[in-house]
Amino acid sequence: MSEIKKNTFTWVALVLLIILNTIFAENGMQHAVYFIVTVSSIKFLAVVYQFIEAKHAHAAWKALSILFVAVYVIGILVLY
Amino acid sequence: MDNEKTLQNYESNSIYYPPGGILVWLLIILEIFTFLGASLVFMYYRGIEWDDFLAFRMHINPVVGTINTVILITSGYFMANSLHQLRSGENGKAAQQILIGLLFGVLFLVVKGAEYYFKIEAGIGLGSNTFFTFYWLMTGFHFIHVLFGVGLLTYMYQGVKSNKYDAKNMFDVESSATYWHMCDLIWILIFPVLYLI
Repeated sequence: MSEIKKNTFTWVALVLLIILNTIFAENGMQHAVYFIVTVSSIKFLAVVYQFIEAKHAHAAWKALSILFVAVYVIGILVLY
Repeated sequence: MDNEKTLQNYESNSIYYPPGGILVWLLIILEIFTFLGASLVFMYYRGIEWDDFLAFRMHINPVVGTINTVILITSGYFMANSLHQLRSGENGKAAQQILIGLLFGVLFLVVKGAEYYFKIEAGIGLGSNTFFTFYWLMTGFHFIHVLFGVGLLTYMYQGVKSNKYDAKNMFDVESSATYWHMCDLIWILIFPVLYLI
């Protein structure tokens, strides 16, 4: 698959996740916060790996982005 | 740095050459951790002023925030595509993609500007309450980043269009694209915290 096709696939997935996130939040579903934070993390990593092309970067940069997401998720859920 | 060298460095997976260059990555780390800190402090105060935060959250519209998220992600998508077009030597198409990305960036600012206008009209300012102090500071700083990014993309658009940048000389365009994606990342972090949770 060409990189532009991968970008398109990522973009469609991101838009669907964004809409799904808002629907979930607005319907006041139980445990929505877990869903919202998880989806936000997936969106973050998708942009970092596909759009910024961090998938070609050194493992340290990939690890840093995953570490950051872990801090974000744990921080939000602990403080919620 | 020419593009050939950049690609070689990517392929060798050198820690010193992440996509867009190490300087822009250091900037991203600083910015992302700043906004992460702000998000966590926001959540801390939310726990203290639970009722107030839930009440004030009703004054912001998640649908508008969602539309702006889609706009910004779409802008990032076109910017990401422009790099591949430029690498393929298709300057015209690359410039077109940058222009579309740039216009989506401007659209984000217009929608955000309209949101700010209605807040100010309703008398909601920086000092109204803790919730809106965070709202104005976090979204305001992000707004400034996007504004700077729009300027940067305008410059890149002109550069690519006039063939100043091409497949062999595109490091500045890559760095600018990385900066632009950083604006996406910041928004991905603050949008759920301010608008959804």
